[in-house]
Amino acid sequence: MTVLYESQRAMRNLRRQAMQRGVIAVMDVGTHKVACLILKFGVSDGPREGSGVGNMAGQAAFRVIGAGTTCSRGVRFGEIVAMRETERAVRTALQNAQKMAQTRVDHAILTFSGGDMRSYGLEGSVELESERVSENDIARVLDACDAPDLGHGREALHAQPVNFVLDHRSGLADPRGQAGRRLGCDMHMLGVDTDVVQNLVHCLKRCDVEVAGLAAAPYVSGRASLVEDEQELGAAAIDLGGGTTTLSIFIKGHMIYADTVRLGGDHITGDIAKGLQIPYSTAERIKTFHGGLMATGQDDRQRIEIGGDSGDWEKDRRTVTRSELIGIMRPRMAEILEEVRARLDVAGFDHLPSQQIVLTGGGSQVPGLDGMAARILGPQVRLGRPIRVPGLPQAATGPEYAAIVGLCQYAAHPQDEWWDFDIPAQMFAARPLKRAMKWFRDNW
Amino acid sequence: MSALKSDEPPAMRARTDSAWVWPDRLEVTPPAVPAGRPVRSRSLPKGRWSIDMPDRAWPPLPEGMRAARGPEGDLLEPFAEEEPELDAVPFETVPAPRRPQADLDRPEAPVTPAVPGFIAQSRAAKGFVGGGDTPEGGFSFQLGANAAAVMDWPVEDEAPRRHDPSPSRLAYRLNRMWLTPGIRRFVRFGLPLLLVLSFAAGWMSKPENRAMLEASINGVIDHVQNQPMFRVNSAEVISASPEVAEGVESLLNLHFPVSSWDLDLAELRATAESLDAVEGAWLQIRSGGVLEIRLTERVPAMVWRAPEGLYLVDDEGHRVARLATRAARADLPLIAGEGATAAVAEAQTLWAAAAPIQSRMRGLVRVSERRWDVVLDRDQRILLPAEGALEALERVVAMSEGVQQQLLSRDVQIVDMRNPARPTLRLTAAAMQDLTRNRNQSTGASSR
Repeated sequence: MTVLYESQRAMRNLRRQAMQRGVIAVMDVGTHKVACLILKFGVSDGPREGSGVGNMAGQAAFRVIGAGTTCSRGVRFGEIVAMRETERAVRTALQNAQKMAQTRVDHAILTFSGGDMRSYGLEGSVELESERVSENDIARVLDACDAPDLGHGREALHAQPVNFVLDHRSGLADPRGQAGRRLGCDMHMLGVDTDVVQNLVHCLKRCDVEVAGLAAAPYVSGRASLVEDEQELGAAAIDLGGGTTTLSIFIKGHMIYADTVRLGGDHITGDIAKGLQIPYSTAERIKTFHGGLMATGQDDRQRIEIGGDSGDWEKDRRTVTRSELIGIMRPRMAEILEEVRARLDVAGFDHLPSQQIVLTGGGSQVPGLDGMAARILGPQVRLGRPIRVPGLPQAATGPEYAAIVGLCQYAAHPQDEWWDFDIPAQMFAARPLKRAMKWFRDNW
Repeated sequence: MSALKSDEPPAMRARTDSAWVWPDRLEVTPPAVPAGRPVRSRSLPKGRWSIDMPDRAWPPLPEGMRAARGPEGDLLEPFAEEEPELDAVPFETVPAPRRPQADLDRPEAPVTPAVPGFIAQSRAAKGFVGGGDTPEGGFSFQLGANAAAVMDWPVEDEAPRRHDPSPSRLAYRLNRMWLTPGIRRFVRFGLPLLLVLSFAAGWMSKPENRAMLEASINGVIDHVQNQPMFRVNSAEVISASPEVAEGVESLLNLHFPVSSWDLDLAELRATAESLDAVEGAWLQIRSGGVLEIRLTERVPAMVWRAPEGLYLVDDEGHRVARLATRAARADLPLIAGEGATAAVAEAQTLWAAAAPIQSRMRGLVRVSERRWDVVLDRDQRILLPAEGALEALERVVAMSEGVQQQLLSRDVQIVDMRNPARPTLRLTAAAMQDLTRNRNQSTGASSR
């Protein structure tokens, strides 16, 4: 745990360094696309009057000065399977963004959805040293949380204190300075495969960019697509991505559960390609232009030319009805949503006071998804788009950019993590002087 | 990778366009065939129809000389060995229409040429002009003669190649380097500056280049300075006396015409003022190319008898001119002695104070650069003190005025006023003898 603590703190220091320099890149390495935004800090003086952008969450502190998106290569299920190819895609996105920003970036914050993310809820409690809760007490109680066995080769990606309990009062966001005897804490920890993360970090290092932070895609897309009251009252954000579908549950402003389903829009495309015997690119195109989930009588009459380049005149002039296309897409989407439903059930989403479900990600643009999701997931379903951040190009405002927009917000205003607090003095053998001072204070 | 490949539908492996299509589900591109590599084949490749077939010769034959091929790519008819009679060849050829793709499966009947051995091509007929009269000898092209060369054809460059949009590692690094502000500034400003400077230094390091540059610069300067508006044609010296004007003009030694750029007025002024008679000079180049010199002359106040001759000096003691004889300026007082010119002002006051005895005065002599002697005729001298000379002189004048005293009319050689408290007279030798004799007579002392 100490290794992780040190590495996370090192990344945090890098992030601070980049913030001081004023330019940092945020990067989303997905299965379908690799997107990169370059943020400049300390330039924007807030949203313009009448632009419709409120001072939400203070994201006026930065401005997007460069954006680059390219098709992803060598990534499956959010994990790298061909490092060189992924490196090329990352290079393309980075270079485009740098060209637009006319500056070079040396630090990047990364989000990804692979690595088999698993949530753990931890709790711990300590007796207070003094009458009031101090910073050190919080560090102690975070340290007192009994860490679960994440498994071999797994590490914590996020470890966020979600809730504090002081004696019998629960639901405290910030107990510092409050009087009490016993301080308890609930922590949410997200475990992830180390190798997957290491591959991503190595890939970025090969592009001469230091990783200055890591964030889970479900977390950041939830932060981008859920509005504040949904984050407070409880909601699930479901990001239908290319290779994975991620879901995160928020309540009281904190993420309490995150999970990924290794199914996504690319599987729908694959189904279409296999079912209609057409190239993958054509299938993607047909899915994007004509796809749907609810068949109507009109769809039986609408014929779609699926084409082909085989040289066979008959084969190249095939058409399908839109109903057939929907008939291919619908079962796969149902499967994805069923899988999400299962994960939500495991997480106990039914017991939340508010069961708002927000669908975002590129896959959420399929017409008829809201109706289908309402049938499978629950009645309160809406389609979410990411919040607006200053300087974001129009092309990057769609729901498929939810994760990276949330990552911008995360870069500007990270929530407290376990490693943001100092290790309590008695645990840290590297500070004998401080221990000696403490011993003197305690005994005289 | 082959496992990945096998679960993909066969449609994906169909021929794709040259355009980049994404996402690439195979994630690895198939091994690329190096472009331009000639493929040598024993058998003729099977094309779908003749217009897709490559020309089986490299370099390609001119348009009219290509053999026509059947739908399977085979040669429709071998060329005739002997040249056909050109007159008998009808040049009317009918181009084969492009068939609809629907009935491609039914092979078309081979095109039968109108004349044996002379084949109309089945693609567009616009290029067909009848190759019989080409300078290379018409259709002497033979398939069997150089079969190896004929069977080679290049693989087309573009067809299997996909354009990879990603920058290479080197390009990416160079791009990032270019976006680094310091390097960018250096390349944009520092490097050109360095280049220009080094070129200039290298050029200037050769002496002939320097001389050439200097000559060309001087040429330009001369050209500009010799413009008519800068020309000075004459000098006009304005002075009180024509002698001084002439002297200044000859001293300045100007040769007209001259450019005003070459005239150093300050230096000219200094030269003009170096003449003794000139107190000040005022120079101006007037319009019309006239150099105007206004001179202020010195006014002679005294005559100074220097060891080498007589000079006129002004009231500051500065020499004005040489004087041939004292009589030329008898109206001016005469001074002499070492350091006399330094005390001209005092001499003037003394001269003014001695106005009653002016008719007798010969001049003033400076002694030891300290005090004045007034020299009168009859070798009389009045020795004045260094301090209070004026008062002493006034006393002497007073003693020589009037009826009673008449000091200077007597037989006195020197009136010594150097000690004002004790004026002393030195009589002439005859007067002294007379005085002694008179005294002896009055006292009755023997003269011994």
